[in-house]
Amino acid sequence: MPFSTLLFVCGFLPWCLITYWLVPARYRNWVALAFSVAFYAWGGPRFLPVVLALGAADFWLARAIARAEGRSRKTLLALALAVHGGILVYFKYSNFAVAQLNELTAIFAMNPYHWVDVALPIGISFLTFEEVSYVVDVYRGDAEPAKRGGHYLLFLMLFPHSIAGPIFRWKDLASQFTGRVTSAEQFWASMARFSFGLAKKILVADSAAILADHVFGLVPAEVSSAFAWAGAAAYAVQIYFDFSGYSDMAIGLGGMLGFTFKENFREPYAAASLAEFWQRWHISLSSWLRDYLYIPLGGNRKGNARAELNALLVFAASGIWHGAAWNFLAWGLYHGILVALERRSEPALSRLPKLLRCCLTFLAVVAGWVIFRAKDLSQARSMLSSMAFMRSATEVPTLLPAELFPRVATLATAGALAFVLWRMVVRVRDESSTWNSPTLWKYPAFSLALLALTLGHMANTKYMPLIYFKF
Amino acid sequence: MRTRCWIALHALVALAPMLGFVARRWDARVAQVVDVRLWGVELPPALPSLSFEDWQSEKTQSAFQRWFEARVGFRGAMVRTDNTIQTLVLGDAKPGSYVAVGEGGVPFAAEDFRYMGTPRRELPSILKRVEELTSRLGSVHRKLAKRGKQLVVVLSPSKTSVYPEAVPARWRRPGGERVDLDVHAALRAGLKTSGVPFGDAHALFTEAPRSARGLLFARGGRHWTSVGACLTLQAAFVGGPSALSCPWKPMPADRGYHGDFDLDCLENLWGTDVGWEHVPIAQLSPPLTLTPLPRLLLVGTSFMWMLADLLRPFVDKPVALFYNNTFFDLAVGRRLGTADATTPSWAEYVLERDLYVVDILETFAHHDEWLAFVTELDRRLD
Repeated sequence: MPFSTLLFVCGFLPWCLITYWLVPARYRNWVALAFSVAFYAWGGPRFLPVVLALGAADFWLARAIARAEGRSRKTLLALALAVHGGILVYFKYSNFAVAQLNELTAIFAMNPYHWVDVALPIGISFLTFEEVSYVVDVYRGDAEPAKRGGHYLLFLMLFPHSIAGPIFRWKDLASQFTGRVTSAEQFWASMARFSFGLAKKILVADSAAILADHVFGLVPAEVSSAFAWAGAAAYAVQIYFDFSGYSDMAIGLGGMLGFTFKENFREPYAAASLAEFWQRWHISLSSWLRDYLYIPLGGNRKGNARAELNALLVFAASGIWHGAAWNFLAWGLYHGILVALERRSEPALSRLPKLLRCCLTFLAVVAGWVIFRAKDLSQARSMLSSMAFMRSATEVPTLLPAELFPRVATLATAGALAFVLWRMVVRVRDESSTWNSPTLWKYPAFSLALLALTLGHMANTKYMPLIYFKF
Repeated sequence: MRTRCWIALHALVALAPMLGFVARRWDARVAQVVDVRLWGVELPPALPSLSFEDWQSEKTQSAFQRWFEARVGFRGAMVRTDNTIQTLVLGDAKPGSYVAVGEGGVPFAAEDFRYMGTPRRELPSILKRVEELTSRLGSVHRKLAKRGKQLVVVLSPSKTSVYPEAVPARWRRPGGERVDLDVHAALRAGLKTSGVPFGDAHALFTEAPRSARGLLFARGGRHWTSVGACLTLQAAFVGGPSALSCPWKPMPADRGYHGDFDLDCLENLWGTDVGWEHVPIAQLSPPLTLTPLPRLLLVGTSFMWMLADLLRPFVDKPVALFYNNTFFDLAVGRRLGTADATTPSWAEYVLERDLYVVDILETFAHHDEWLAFVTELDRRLD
């Protein structure tokens, strides 16, 4: 039951909030847990036992790690990591691995390996990272193991984040499972935040998606440079407003239940470098990769060359985390290589005007999204060469201009791009400037109108799934 | 206090659809499935059954979601508000909508725009199919004539042929090329060569004075009017325009829905009050004097329902074959069954006829349905 459905907004959420706030404070965690389990049972009933079993195993393992000493600590940690790694690999990468194996067997004229495709449990990538961070933090002594199983299960399954992040850490939330206090102002700000996130997803991202889908659906001969750039820009708008809108909704929902979640996006498209972009985009994933992969690999403590190699490995892991396909790996490597090049060219780049650096960074990110969005590497190559070489199409598109560029999609994309440019200009003048959606609570009438418009649009359009659900 | 008021207002907006659902204030029209202003051509989904297997495979969940979201309170008001904003602010219907907005607010079926804007590279294959169709029709016509039976073809028009000036530039091919005109010319030429009697609404309507267009093909309609259908049918039976006459009289229109403003209704906008209390209903004149009354088979698209109304008094046991997939009994207005050329009913409904009226909508002339039907009939007449 995605957040951007009428069933969630007008059905599940009101019942959940009414029940949550009507019961005495000491029962609220149980209400939140019951609704979270129901939420997961609705969206991924087959995998609920897997998630519950993993939660129970983590709870037990973390406590055992905390009690153990010497080699047995390491053994228990290795066991936990092996279980989570194995489960992630099995569910997320086995289909891809078998498909690659069968391509090889075809080359050597051998019989293909028979395999029944494994369905991907909803939110498995996010849950695995949260569980790994929990046991590692306990092992490192950075976090106390959960004292109550219910609290740990609520941490894992809390519905605002259980299916598409943000990726939380136990040590950040542990203290919030007891004694949460929510003021009317905090509730109101959270409500406005949720409305704003919903509007970003429904009104902007879903509109830009129409344009992006049309362009990426064209055959290569129909894609001129202008179309390729329009499609790439539309996808850049779609993925940002889709995922940051979802994060706004998650943070707002958490706030309405009394939790305080960390920000997951900080104006990434106004970044002046790719390194800065990654400090502002999907922050919970970037920081997780930094703390649990980059630093353990040696970080930048072992010289420049090793730091670049580490960064490349981390970006490759980030790419493959997003999906089992070559284009995701290529997208990760693309960013890894560009970040390394950027690091080496820092003296030259720093002499460029900041607005120009922001624009170059944005263009590099947009080009990267083409690799990410393309259905395969061949399409990515074709789109990128159209963008680079100012090519005209050799065939007339099957779609008419009004279909290819519906006004609502064009307006949403153009408006969002203008907003990005405006934020770049503002940040060049004043680096401390931030435009955070939480400030929307200061404009309640606007927020109310936005909510009404969004609900009306939802009733009138087909549901479009969140991009990050499939990861 | 102000904060609590804003919370309450937001909660009210978010809860309104649920409250409307619970109070069964869905739209005050949900029970009336025929109300296309709310439903378009879709029926509201039924409440899904609950079983463990369906729950596990998530079929129940998605079916329940569709069921709930079709019934949320004030859905009609929300849909109309959203459509009105998009149409007024952007001058555009929602993407993917069946209805597209033309110049001056004239509504069109988007499929007509797509046909008009067919890329030229597709023309050779379309012309090949059109040639094959007309040649087959000629063969069928000759074989039927030998048996004392009659075949008549009626070319029904795309709305873009009748209101070309209302087609917006962004729905046209750059350069303004129009493949549809070549297809229409090929259809006419093919039918003439084959010797099949036909009436051509495209030609009749574009030659008519502009002031009369609304009477032939209503501005807010998807199909021709009764008068437009009548004139085309007469052209098919009696020849050139000089012999045409279709006296008409205004008849009460169903305020909820009528073919002459069905696209207006399908747009689902606030303030679209078509205000038509009466619509012109025509009669064939002179009436067809075929004795004995011929057993009719009417083949075609939704344009043929108007033909059916006009022909019904002059024929016996009329049957319609809709898109070559479903038979209808026109005498009582009920569905007879799926068209399957291997069954005895197909032979009964198709072969045991005296008069064959084939409605070919120019938008779909090159589609499989007509060629498949005519080819099968041609084969069975051998």
